[in-house]
Amino acid sequence: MKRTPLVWAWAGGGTIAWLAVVALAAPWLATHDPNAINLPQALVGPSAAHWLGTDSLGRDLFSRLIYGARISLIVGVGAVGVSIAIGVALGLVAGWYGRWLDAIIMRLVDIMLCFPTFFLLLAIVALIGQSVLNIILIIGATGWMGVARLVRAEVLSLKEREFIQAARVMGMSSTRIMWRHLLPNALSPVLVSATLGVGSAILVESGLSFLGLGIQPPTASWGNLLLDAKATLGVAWWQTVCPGAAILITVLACNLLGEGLRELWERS
Amino acid sequence: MSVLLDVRDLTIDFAMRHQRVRAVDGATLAVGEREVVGVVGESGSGKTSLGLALTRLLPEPPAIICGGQALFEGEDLLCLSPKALTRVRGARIAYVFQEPSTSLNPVMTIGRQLREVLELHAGLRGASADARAVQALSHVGVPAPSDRLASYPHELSGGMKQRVMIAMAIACNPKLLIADEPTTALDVTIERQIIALLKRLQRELGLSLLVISHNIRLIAQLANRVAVMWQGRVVEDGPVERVLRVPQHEYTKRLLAAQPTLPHG
Repeated sequence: MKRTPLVWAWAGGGTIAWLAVVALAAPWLATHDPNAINLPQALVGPSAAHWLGTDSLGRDLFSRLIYGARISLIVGVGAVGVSIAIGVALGLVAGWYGRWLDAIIMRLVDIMLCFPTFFLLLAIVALIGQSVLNIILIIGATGWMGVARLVRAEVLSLKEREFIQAARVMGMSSTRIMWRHLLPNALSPVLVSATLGVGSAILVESGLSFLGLGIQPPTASWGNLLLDAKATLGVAWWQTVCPGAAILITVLACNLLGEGLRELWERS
Repeated sequence: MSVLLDVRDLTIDFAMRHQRVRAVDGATLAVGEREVVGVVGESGSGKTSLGLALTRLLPEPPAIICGGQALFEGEDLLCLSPKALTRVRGARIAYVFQEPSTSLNPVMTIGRQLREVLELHAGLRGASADARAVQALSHVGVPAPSDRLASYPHELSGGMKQRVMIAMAIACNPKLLIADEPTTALDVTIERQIIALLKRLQRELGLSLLVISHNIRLIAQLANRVAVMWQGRVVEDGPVERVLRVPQHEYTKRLLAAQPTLPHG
């Protein structure tokens, strides 16, 4: 029973790593130009020429899927990066300084958690536009709350540890203590949250793109591939199944890896 | 001999939800230059609170410093701003804690932690910081000091860790070193070594020491003067020979009588 979680974590980690390699090597792995329209070949099923068939404009699905992997990973990792940057900074400050600063930050967390995130995202996208960078920023800006709470909790318990007192008595400033001493010791739960967060961010981006409010075509994203496939579901099942399976496998891999890391952290 | 630290009538309360407890009640003591003063007392006598209050490490709230002064080279430590405190701590007053295992950051190497102190107070970086770190470690008797720089705290024994803590404390030549139960977490053979180390450093560096402990044996070997604390008050204070041989206060007599002795014969 003890061995099992780690096996799954390796499976998850391995899948993510493999996906990252595929995404990086997209220009070499893709069989066709992902944006090349080829109307005579529209809605062709999986074949030797088009491994996963084509969409309603004759674009090769396999190539679009691989390029879509790039977008999904970039958005996933980027959004998590933004969340961590905001969450860690606010969590450290709230935990270390305490009192009114802590109260303000925690109330901000509560307020953000009350918003139905998806609608908030839709509203912001409508305001600032749909570029990849904007999508990364806004998914990140609505996902930092969990990290902030985790970091704050770690800081609250670490604050009383003697090595932090020792650092204070050696004349170190609060900023130095927070970033150099507290943060490295508080990282483990952040890593777990980050890994799970990548999966979550990918789902959010796919959802936004599926609604037409995320990544704009012709840039391929798994979400907008699903959107294209919606109209032709009865005729071209492969268009829906392939991006859907890609999302499923990726998010599952993130979750397995995240749970495995959590197991490791809780054991130590 | 001039007075380095002059504590007068220090009173510290702890405010809890339904009551207010007086931890230190009008404590008065002084530490002169190059002098070793011991503060001895049982658990709950207020001696640790006294030590922590001097470096303002007591969380305020719940601690409330409600009276008294602690003059260090003319400045009242109890009234310093946080910025002024960071200048005093480490550079002029250093502190060594009881438990060396938890006083070092577990995820940083010894070298990195030493270098950080040196960078902060002496502005040293790179090779000169490394050289100074090795020098500090060999000064406190850590064997193979250049190898030790890359070690993590969990790779060292308790005695070795306490030596490292002392090295970090004296790295910036403070005037006063406050040691709170410096050998309580160590076994007696290591205790002897640390006592010898502290004595040697005090002589060589001209340090003043304020040693807080419940261990009379430690105080007897290290201190020139001793203050006995009980229930937050300093009940007796004087040269260590006199206090231990001819105790005046009832509590001191009982404290000394409570020392275990080996049966003769």
